[in-house]
Amino acid sequence: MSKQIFFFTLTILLFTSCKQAPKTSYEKLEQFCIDHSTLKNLKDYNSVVVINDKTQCLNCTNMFAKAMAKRLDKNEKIVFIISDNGAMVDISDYIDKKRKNIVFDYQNDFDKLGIANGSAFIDLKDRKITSITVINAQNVGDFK
Amino acid sequence: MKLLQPVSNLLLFCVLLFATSCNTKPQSSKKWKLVQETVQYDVGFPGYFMPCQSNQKNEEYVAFVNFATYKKFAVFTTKGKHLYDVSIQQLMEQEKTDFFFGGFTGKDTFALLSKYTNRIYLIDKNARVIAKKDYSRYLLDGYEFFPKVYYKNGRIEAGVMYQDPNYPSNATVKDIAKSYHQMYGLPKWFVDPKFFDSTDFSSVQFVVDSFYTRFVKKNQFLSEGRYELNLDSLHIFYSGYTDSLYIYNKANYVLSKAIKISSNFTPKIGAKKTTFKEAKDDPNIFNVRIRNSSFINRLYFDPYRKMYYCFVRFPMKGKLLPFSIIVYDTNFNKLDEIKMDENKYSPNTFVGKKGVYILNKDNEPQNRYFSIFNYE
Repeated sequence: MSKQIFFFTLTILLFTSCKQAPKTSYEKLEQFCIDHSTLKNLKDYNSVVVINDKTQCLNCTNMFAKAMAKRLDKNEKIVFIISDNGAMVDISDYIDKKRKNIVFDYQNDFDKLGIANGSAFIDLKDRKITSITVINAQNVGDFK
Repeated sequence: MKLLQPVSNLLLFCVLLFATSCNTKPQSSKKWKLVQETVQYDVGFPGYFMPCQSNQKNEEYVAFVNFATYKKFAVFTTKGKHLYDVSIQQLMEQEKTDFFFGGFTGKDTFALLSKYTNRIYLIDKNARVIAKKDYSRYLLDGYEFFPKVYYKNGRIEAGVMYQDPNYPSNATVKDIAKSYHQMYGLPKWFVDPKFFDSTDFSSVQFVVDSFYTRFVKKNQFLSEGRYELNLDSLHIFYSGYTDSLYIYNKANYVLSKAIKISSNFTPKIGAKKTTFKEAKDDPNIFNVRIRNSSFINRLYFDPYRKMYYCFVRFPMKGKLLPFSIIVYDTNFNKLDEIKMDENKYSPNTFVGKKGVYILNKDNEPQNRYFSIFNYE
């Protein structure tokens, strides 16, 4: 009987060990988008824009959100993660649009991934994150 | 046996005296208690709230504001009944400005402050302008107004922040330090007793100067909102960087006294200050230090029970905001301190007739839930 229990436990362990948690930042980001939207993966996208109010410069985030909304209308290969409830940052350009590349994250769960501390522009290539630019007063003008 | 009676009485008296002498708590029979588990406000949009206002009929209101995305605010009775929404979208387009919500000025009138341009408006519930006054002339001196805005009997008051008009475009650390040090010595508060005369600026006053020089050194930098409690005869200022409340007499705006705040749950109150060099090397250092500090978060006065509630925040636990509430009488004698459950409550509150309304943690983006406590 104890032999049966041992083999049963071993089998269960073997199966569960195959299911691995996402490891790279790219995988975490992709899993986050799948969990919070209808996206299946990020392979068709070149960049991710993250908008939230966890910043020293709220005006910068508002400027960034406005500038990025123009790119949303141009149908660029960008995923937009709106990690804000719109109380401090103007997200009116995003809320009424039914697009699959807009991920709403009102509780800012994105923050838990530890990928970017604040609003950010993330470049993707070959299933990897190639750069992360956190938005601040110095660089916000570069994003148009 | 009769001879021993006085001795035993004396012994009994001594035992009682000894037992009661160990109780060092203030002599108060009052207790902090939950009087209503939930008051729900179906706001319909995410936003922050502004405290209630009582008028002569003892009615109380609370407003939930979202000017960033929805460009409106919703007014409720404190019991949770929705009264009306006020959309400011059209006013924003007409005046070509964004606004800060200044506060209630009556049941159906509100103060608005234009962002960065120092114009103060009183509007009605249809967002029609009742009065406005343009204070942009003070921008040339570096004075930019910030909420809250207070209005009473023709007198308007607002917070002031210094924006150096001569700030160089490629500022060095030395330039930044010079500019901020200038700010520490300048006034924090603006008063105009003649709001309704849009051309008369003769009575304008800028008061409460040199506030930060009391606790910030020349090479230190701070970043915070305006912390103040504005009462009829007193105006109390505080900061995340000090352990004291600074009480000003409103008749002349002279500092009358400073009250040191101490908590049973932390040895030190006041966030660690940051030097200009540290801030330049790591722009995120403010947030990290505030997150890891204990500091005075908010001060409220309860006009119904005649007491103050001082909210003290402790270092964050993940996303949770641990805090306690220190209860003071009107002379700032500490009556009690209550450690609140950070898993259930946020340190966001307003005071009403029924008690202290404390925001629940498990809010939905469209609704707000408060629990009511009082100390009676």
